[in-house]
Amino acid sequence: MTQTFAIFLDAYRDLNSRKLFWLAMVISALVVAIVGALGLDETGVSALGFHFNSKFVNTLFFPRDLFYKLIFQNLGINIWLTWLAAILALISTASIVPELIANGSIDMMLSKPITRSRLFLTRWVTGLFFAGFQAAVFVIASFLVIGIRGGVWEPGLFLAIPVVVVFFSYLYCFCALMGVLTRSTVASLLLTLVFWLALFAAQKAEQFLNSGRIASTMEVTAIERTIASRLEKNADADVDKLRVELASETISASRWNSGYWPAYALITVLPKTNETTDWLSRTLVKQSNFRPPAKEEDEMRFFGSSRVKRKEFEQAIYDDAESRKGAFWTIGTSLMFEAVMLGGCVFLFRRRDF
Amino acid sequence: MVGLSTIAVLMLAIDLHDVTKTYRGGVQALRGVSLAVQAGEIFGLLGPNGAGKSTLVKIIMTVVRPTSLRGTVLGQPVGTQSVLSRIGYLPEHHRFPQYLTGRQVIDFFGALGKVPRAVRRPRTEELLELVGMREWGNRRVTTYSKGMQQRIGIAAALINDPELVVLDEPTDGVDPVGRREIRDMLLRLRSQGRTVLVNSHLLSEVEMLADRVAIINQGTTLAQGTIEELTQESHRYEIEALHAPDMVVTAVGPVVGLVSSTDPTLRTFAIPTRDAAIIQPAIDALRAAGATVTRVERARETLEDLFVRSVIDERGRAMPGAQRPSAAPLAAPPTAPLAPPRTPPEVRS
Repeated sequence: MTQTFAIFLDAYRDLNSRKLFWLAMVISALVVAIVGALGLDETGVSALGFHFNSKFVNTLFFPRDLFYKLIFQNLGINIWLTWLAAILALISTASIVPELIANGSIDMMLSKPITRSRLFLTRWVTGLFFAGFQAAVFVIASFLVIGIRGGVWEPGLFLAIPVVVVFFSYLYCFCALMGVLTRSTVASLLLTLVFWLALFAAQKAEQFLNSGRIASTMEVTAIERTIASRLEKNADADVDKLRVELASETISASRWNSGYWPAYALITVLPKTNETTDWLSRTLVKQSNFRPPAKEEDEMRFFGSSRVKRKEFEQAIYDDAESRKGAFWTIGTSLMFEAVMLGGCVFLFRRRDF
Repeated sequence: MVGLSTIAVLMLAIDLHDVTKTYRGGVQALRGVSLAVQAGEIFGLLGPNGAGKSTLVKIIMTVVRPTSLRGTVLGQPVGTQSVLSRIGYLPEHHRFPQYLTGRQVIDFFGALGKVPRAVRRPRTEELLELVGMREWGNRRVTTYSKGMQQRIGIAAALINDPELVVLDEPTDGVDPVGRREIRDMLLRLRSQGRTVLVNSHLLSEVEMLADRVAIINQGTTLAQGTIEELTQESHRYEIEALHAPDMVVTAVGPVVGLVSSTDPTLRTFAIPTRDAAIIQPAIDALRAAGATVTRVERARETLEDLFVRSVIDERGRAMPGAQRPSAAPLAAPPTAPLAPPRTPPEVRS
């Protein structure tokens, strides 16, 4: 315990000495302070004594608490904590592993009565402090803003802290492995950013293929329903045309499916950064009523469908995510990937001569 | 430190045999080194660059994994966690976290060595005092000179009150006054019953400190023992005389005079003996030949002479066709011409 505490204290001192850490903290506080400075009434938004009339951003359109919650979710979680703050955290912590294993630095550590596995994993965990502190400060401040300004106290918000740390850990385990392999801060940082970009692209591709698959399947169902309805009403005039359309759409659905499942299998074994923030958003919606007002119904046009309503489509996407992309698939399999990465790190670290 | 002296009598602090290390790529750093360091002594590890000294030290400290190894450190297998808590180590080219102060560095490594906090605090103060860094303890290590970092490193190596202290180039970057202080400190550690293993390229310092030394070259142990043992066969008398004949006859046989490079009339005769009686006929013969005896001195090889000769001999053995400056085996008496004496003479007449 003495050793663990010493490594944690050392990590705190390390963070404390990094200007970037404090810069990120200040930005976090500023973002929340700016949101807290915004006021909402029946006519629009006010900030720092100025008032801006708006037809869409007012308490008639949004309840006041939902206004702050949506800013927290869309700006705070989806942009700040899981993109900008995560990049700052990576920049700040990418040097931890290369510095740990640098000649002269590692020698004294390894000569102490601590196993290599424990030394590496404890030091790795301290790298998560950066993201943890950022998330904690931001979420606590947001909790206070939503409570004081929105009038609703939502302890469910605190779920964002561990989820953001877990999100960061997906990237940080890869960064650590690159650090062990290359011993270079710059190389490990750049490779991690490329990896993150690749993950983003893979997940977006999977989401695109999934949307196409669901839209196509819904289209097939809609055509089948129409044919059945026509047949019931003995209105056979357009049935043949519909059957041709059905055959074409069925082939299309089959193509979407054959493209989708390999993509799904691929991202199942990879860490799911986007999916994790989506899962957090869905959970916050369920737990803390973050759902924005319903959109007007319009036709689905993204995948050539004219029979599927946008609202139905979005609901189908949501239901699909709820049924197949739960906590285990989203976070559990990502943590499995993380365990493999860390296992690789520890394996290399234990066997290496310094 | 009660009990360390008893341990010193009973056991070897380091007892290693046939240590080999082959790095990836096939580089053989150690080819069967053996090392016996007695508890309570200062032991000097010597060798040229690339000899394998640092690899050996790193193997003892578990920083490098051996390819094969037999033996013990402080009576237990190398790398045992409980043993590591009884060793203090200062690596060469150490780098401390730049955000820590000297005091925090000592405390941090103490904590990693499982030293309880209640013990660390007073001991950190003691050690800062010991290494003369008390006033600088609260400054960040980035503001320290190389010598100051070395002092803090030594303090950090001693925070766990170690039985065995392993120092890799401890005086590297330290000024002469600091070196003397470190030497005094190492002698104090020995007087407390601790064992000190010093890896240093500063032979004169090792000579002043070490009870025993080992010379390592190309991954093998060339020699091991006290400096007296290793240079025993090199004891000689040197007679310097003006206008001397080319050769004098002594009880050990004829001895050729070596002409001085600065004065062609000055010759030095080296007679391989410790017995002053043996050189008397030579002095008489010189005087009888009209020579003026200017100096008679008892001398032996310095550690540097021994080191250079060992290493060059080893290179000669490794390359049979190469020219060997000295054909004498390690323990053999030196033959004329002799290397000029570099240590202060033990007896002058």
